[in-house]
Amino acid sequence: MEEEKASLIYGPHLQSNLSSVFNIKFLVFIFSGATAGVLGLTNLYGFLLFAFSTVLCAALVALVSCRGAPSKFVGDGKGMSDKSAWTSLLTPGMDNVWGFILTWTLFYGIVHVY
Amino acid sequence: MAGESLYLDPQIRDWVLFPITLVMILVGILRNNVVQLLASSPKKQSRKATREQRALLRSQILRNTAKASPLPPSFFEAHTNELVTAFQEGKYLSKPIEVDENGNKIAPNPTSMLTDPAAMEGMMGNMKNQMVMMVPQMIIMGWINFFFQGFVLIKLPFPLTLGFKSMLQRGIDTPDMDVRWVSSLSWYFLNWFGLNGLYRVLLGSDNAATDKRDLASSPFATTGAAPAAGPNQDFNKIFIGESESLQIAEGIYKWAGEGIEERILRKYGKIPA
Repeated sequence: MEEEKASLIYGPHLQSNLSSVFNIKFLVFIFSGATAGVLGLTNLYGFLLFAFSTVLCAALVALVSCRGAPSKFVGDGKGMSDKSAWTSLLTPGMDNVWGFILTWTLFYGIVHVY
Repeated sequence: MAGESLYLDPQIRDWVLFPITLVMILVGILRNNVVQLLASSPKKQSRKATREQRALLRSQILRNTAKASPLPPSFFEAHTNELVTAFQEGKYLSKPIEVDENGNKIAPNPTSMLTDPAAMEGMMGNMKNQMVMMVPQMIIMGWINFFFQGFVLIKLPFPLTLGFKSMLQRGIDTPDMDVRWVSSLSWYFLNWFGLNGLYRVLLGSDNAATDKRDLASSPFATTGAAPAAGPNQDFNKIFIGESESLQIAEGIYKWAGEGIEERILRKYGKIPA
């Protein structure tokens, strides 16, 4: 029955979900940047850790918090397909990339250069 | 790859690395508070202007939910009929349409940006915000250039091309040193980019310390922005357009509860599917 396609997304809940997801992602990335710095990873290995932490974070959020169905919790107000919900969980925003690089440089400097 | 490893004075770390980061975080928080304090209180709109915008919003909601509408037919028809006649007669307009001698309607003068007082205040607010954002950045850059110039601060963990050397090692004139050893100004830039995310986590989403680029295309930016788009819109034309769209929506209207008795019985197996 296609009548059940009424929009079941409640705006304020969606906003708070999105900002929670952003907070989680940002904290994960700054801690993984710190890890990369402390471990002394350089160049490629550091970015590998970045990719690994992206995937791990997206997987944990989707499986544990979203109970396996991220399209119900994350989206853009009109309902989102499962695939694009996964993609939006997986993409680190520019903010997070720079945060990773910042903490990576900071901890690398503190531990290995000084 | 030159395997040299410079030995840097730990006091540089204590007195430059941490202070720059700390100062930038604190200045960002200060910026946010200053913008909030400077913001003039929202201008109270007249009852008629509010009524205009709310009528528009009502018709948009009716249209968007028409396909699986929670309103039973009698309510939906009553709402749409009232809105359609009101739009076409211009009952909700805040500035009534002027009629010249022959009875033709004169299109109202679109009030230009400079003469309309509400738009002026909006522009002043924007300019004030930009000043507040730019001035601390320039001050901090000047401070760093004055005090922390001419020495190597930190080593980047990833390599960069030689093109960046002039930008990142400003003040250190060694042609041979790896691009990975950078000066304090580049630490400032690194902080600047990286702390945006931190501001969003610390201060909540609509803080005034970041340059909002990522979330500006969020879902609800459009529904909020459209009715408040500008005081010089021609509401009459918008209303006429809305009334036509409402009539189209009446065509696709379907009550979500239609045939609900049969659906429930089928769901619980009392009627063969």
